[in-house]
Amino acid sequence: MDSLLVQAILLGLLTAFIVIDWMTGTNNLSRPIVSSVFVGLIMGDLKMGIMMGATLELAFIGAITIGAARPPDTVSGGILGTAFAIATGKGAEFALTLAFPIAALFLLVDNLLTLLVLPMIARKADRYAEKGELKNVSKMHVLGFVLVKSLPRALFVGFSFYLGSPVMERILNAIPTFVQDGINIAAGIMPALGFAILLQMLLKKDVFVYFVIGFALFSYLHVPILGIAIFGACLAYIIVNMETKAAMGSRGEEMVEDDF
Amino acid sequence: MTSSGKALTKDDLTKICIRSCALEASWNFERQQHMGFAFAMMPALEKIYSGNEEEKQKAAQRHLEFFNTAPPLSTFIMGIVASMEEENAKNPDDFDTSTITSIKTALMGPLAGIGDSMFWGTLLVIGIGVGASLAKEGNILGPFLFLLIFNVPNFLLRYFGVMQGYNFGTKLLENIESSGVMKTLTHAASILGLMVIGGMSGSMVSIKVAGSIGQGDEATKIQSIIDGILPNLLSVLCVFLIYWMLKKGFKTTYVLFGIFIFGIIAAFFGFLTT
Repeated sequence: MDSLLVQAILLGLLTAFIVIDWMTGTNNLSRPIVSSVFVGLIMGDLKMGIMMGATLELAFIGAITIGAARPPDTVSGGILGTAFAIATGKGAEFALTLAFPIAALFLLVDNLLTLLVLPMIARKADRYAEKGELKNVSKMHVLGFVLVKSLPRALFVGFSFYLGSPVMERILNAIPTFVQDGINIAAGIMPALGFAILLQMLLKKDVFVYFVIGFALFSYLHVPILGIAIFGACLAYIIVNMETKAAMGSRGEEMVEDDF
Repeated sequence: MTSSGKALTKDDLTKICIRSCALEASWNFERQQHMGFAFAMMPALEKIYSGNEEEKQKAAQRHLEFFNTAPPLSTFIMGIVASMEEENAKNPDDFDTSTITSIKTALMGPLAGIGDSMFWGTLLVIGIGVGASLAKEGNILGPFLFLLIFNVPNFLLRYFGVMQGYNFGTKLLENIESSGVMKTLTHAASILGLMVIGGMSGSMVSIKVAGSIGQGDEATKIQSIIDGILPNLLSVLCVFLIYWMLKKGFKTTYVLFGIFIFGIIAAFFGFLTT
C-alpha cells in the first residue's frame, strides 16, 4: 500500500474518533488546535502539526454554533488543512485554500444528513418511547451520532485527502447554487417544526397572549431571551399573586382591609 | 401513593451528569438536542417510574420534545426535571405534567444565552489565546492548556448543576405541595415558558424574502418592508402554519420533507434567500 492511502485511511479513522467530542461533554477535542496534534503524528511531523493547528484555529475562531446558524465544518476543515499543510509544505495559507472548499462541500453533506436522516432516526426514537422501550430510545441517540456525525465525516475526510482538493472543488462547483441555498433555507425554517410540536403541548387559549408578549419583546425591542425570561418571571409572579388574592377575596372579607 | 418507583440517589444524579455529556451527539435542525436530553434522563426515568409503564412511556415522549441549551449548563435543567418527574410519580393526580415541559422551555433559552457567552464567548477565546500562542512555537502544552481552560469549568458546572438543580426543585416542590398551590405553579410555568418560546420563535427560526421593489437607487428590499411592519413576521407565521397543520393531523414526517422541498423550490425560483 502506498503511503498516501495509509495516511488517508488513518485520517479517516482519526475523524471518526475525534468527533467523540460531542459524546464526551462537547469538550472541543475536535477543534483544529487539538486535532492537529494527531494529524501531525499521522503525517510524521508532530511539531509542524501543532504549529499548523494554532494557525488554523485562529482562522476558524468565531466559528461557533449559535442557534441554527452553522459555521463551515471546522472538524474536516481543520484536519484536512493541517494534513495538506504538512503534505505540501507550502504553509498554512495555501493549505487553507485547499481545505476550505472541502469543508464547504462537507457542510452541505452534513446539513443534508442533519436535516433529513437524523429526524428519521428521531422518529424511530419516538416510536420506541411510545412503546416504553427506553433503552432503545437511548440507542437511537447513539445511532444518530454514528450514522450522521461520525461515519460520513470520516469517509469524506479519507476520500478527500486521497483524491485531492481539485477533485472535491470540482464536485462542489458542479452542485447548483439553488440546491445549496435551498438546503440552507430549509435549515433556517426547520426549528419552526420543533416549536410547533412543543406548542401542541403548551399552547392554550388563555395563555396565548404570553407567547405574543415574548415574541413582540424580541422582535420590536430586541430583548435577549434571558431578558424575556426575567420579564416572564415577574409577570408570572404578579399575575399569580393577583389571582390568589382574587380567589381569597371572593372567599372572605379579610383582604379588603389590606387594600385600603 | 400508587407508584412503586423509588427516589433518586446521589449516584443516579451523577449518572445524569455523565450521560449529559452526550447531549449534542445527535443534534439536528428540527428538535436539536432532544434525543440527547432524553438519553441523559433515561436511567432516572426507568427508576422513578419502575412498575408504572404508562407514565414511563409518557415521560419518555415528553423528553423527546424540542430542547436546546448551552451543554455545560444543561444539567441544572435536568436536575430540576428529575425532581419534578419524581413529584409526578408521587402525586400523579395533583401534578400537571405540562409544567415539566414549561419549566424546561423557560430555562433552556436563558441558560443558552448565559452559557454561550460564558463558554463560547469567553472561555473558548481565552483558551485559544493561551493555547495558540504556545502551539505556534510547536509546544504541545498549547492544545493541552486549551482543553484544560475550557473543560475544568465545563465539567465542574455539569456536576454541581445537576445536584443544585435537583435540590432546588425538590425544595420548591415541597413548599408548593404543603401549601397546596400546585395549580399556581402550573400556571406560572406556562406563562414563563410561552414567553420564552415566543421570543425563540423570533430568534431561532430564520426565513427571508428575496428581491426588491423599484429600480436603481429607489429600490427597496421586500424583506426590509416586512421588517418595517413586523420583524420576524414570517418566522412566527411558519411556526403557526406548521402548528395548524399538525392540529389538522399532518404527520410531522411529511411536514419535515415538505419544508425541505419548499426550501429547494424557494431557492430555485429565488423568492426566498438565506
